[in-house]
Amino acid sequence: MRVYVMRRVLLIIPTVFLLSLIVFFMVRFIPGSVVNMMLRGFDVVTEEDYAAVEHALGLDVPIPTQYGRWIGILPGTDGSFSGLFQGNLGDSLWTKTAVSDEIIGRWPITVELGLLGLIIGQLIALPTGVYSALRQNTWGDYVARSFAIICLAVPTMWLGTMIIVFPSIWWGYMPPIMYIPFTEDPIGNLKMVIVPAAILGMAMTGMTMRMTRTMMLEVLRQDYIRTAWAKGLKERVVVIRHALKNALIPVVTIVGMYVPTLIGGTVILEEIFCLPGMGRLLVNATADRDYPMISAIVLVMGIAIVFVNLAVDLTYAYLDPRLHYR
Amino acid sequence: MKKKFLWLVISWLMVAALVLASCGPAGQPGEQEEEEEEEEEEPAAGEPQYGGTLTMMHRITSSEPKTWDICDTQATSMYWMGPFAEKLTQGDVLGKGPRGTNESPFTLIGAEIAEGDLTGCLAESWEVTNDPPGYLYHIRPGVYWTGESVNPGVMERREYTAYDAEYHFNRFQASPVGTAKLGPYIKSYEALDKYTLQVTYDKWNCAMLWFYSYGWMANHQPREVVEAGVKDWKNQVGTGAFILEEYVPASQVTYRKNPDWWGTTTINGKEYDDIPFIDKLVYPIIPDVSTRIAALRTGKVDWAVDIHPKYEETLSSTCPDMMIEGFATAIPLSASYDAEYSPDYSQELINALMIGTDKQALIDTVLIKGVIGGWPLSSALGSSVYTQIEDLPAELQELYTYNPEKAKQMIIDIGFEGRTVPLIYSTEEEVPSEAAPLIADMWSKIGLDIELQPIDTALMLKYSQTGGYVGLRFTALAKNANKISRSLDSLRAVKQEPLYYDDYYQAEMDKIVGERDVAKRTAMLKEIAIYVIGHGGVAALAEPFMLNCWWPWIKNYYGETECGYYNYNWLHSTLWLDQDLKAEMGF
Repeated sequence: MRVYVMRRVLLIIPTVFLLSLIVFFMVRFIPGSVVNMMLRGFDVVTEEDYAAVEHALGLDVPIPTQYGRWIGILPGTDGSFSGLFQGNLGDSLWTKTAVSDEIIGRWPITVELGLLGLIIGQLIALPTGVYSALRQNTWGDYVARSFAIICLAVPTMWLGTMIIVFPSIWWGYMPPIMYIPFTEDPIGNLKMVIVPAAILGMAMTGMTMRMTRTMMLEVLRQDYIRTAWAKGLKERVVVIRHALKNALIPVVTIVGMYVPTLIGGTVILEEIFCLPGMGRLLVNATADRDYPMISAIVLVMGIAIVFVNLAVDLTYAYLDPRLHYR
Repeated sequence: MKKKFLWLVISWLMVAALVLASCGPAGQPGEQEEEEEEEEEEPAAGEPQYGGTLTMMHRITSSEPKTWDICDTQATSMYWMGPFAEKLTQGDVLGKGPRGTNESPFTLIGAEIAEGDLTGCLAESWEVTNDPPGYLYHIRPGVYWTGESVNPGVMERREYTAYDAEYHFNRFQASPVGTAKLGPYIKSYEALDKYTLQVTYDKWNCAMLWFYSYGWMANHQPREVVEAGVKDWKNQVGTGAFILEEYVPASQVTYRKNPDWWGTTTINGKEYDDIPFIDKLVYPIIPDVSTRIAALRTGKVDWAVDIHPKYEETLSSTCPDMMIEGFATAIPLSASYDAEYSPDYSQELINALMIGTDKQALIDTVLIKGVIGGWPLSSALGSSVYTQIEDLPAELQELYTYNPEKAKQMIIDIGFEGRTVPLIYSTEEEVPSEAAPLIADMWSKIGLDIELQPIDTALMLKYSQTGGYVGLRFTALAKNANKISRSLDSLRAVKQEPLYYDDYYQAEMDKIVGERDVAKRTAMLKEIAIYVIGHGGVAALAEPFMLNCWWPWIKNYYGETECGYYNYNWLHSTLWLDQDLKAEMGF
């Protein structure tokens, strides 16, 4: 197992290298550059204007040279090496602040939103899926399955907007619009985050609940479960100790598939609920063509996703001891 | 078993409590602070109250400050710097606005304030000089850099002088864009003494005043802040009515009152020198429009500019006490072409498009509020410079009349029948995005095959700045109306614009920008604007209006949208909040 984990960790290196190449070059081929954005508001832009700003940003050198500087194998304009290899993600072309500082500032919000969403989603989906399987074809099962379909069908963007709009009309209420850090005021922070986290959780609930139900139904029909019933074990013991663990393996896969969304795909909810998270940072950076920011965020997200996938794979081994990784 | 059941119940109760707690009314920052206040005498009715926090959504509230350095020339960032970084001059909203002579309502967003409507800010007064040619500014004594920044020790409190102005302008003009914009015209900025600044022109251009005196790049920053790191918000120090207190990226910018500010105001005959009245000013950053409307509706935001008129009905019905006024945006919805890349497009095509557009239907269905016309000068600028449609020559009046049959024939006559014409618009512009399908339908009925091409802002800017597109650029951005001499001047310098190749226009603009007499220049602008309608290569369809919405607890405010380009200085510092009224109204 240790060897397996080491091998997976080492495989991250070529993965990250490939990812860095792809994201670095891709963003530079998007039509419309950061120079156009920076010269916004000027009716007349000459070639000299464009060249001057391009030079000031260090974008007037060939793209491979820019890449070399970014990863730290070529010296920058000041002659020093300062790139990924030196632990430097670069500076924002706009604010000139370190990209790492921006990411560190925004990451906790996204993680908090994602984690809460994950917890809420699983707290709803797992018990509901188990119940639905145990009480198959009863009214409870029908209600649970309908709820799952609703969760799958309702877009988070629409739901988020409805939750903002209608309470403001009916009750004159809306969640806080100005960010309150958890360390400053935990209750205030939770007031901001709980609603979008619940919406995010609901988005995951549908698929997870249905998969849990399906797998539980399959597992509950196994011989060893029949043996457990025959032994006279209580329902709770049969379900939790014997059935659930085996049923959870595909469920863990689904949860693993959602994690990339939680890491970087919550931009719509962040925009609706005014949460300054990673999703908004990435979208704004893309709109502003802030190349170092885009590259760094995608790279960091990619690394996070790789590690999460590793964690998901290792979870299988915990759930099913028959699995051995070499 | 019972114990486990008990724990399960307790944990569900805790979750329920958490959910219920989150459903309660949320507090605003600052509301939770409890201060013991001495009992004070209640101010008389109508007399300003001190205190409170004004939360305002200005025009760029959907995106955050991109830079804190004026030399990065990001117009939108100047909104965020305006409360603390002042300019030489600004619009005379107190004297010339609705609370004064009402000569100018100051309800034209981003308009070039006419020279006669200017008043001093960092400069107390100024005069035109002929030898050397330029302007002589008399700097206001008693204006101080606060010395207060989030990062300690950036600078000490000290007086603002002409040397600060000299430093700022030279730094700006040395920047890449400053060199390009001001370099060809401004020879030097020189502090003759502590309170006198001479701006010497190399070549007179009336539009330069806008650039350095009151435009969006005219906010001053001191040497100490530049040396400490001008791009860091924590180093910012200004002379303005407010001090930058906090910037939470993607969330809000908070300013606190500058108790040492030089400004004064007179209300009901009484002079107040301890202004601003409010303690804090907050600009929230709210990207989603539904959230912005909800924030306004629930009183979390006291004042919002640039609300689309389609929300007027819902706001009026849910908030009957809210003050809502429409104003001209001076940014007409228009279609234009790149004369270099589409050489077969012509003014005749543009004329056909204008005649073939049901502009009233466009206003009724998409804009909700607007006027036909408004290009190249805004309809709100007044008769001294704007010509009403009914006063235009007959052949130009025709352009504003909907006649699809005539338009169809015009398309046939120029050989464009059945031709595919791309209609390029930015998905980030709300009005063109909504209008594009309607316009495409109208123009397809006059014989064109319109191909909608949505793009993003960066690409739209590229097309706007350097051309390179085939088809029609459909936008409510730039190349437009509102900046009188500056924008009309710029139309002659852009190779993509048809007017670049118009010798008459080039010659006339040379005369106009060199004319120092304001009245004469205004009359000349009025004439050339009429010429531009018929030769400018722009199908200006309608001038959208937007809404300015504010709650009645904002007092001593009369609906002005700005007091100069991206400048709310006098508005913020002279209004006050009737917090009792706000509480009575349940907010």
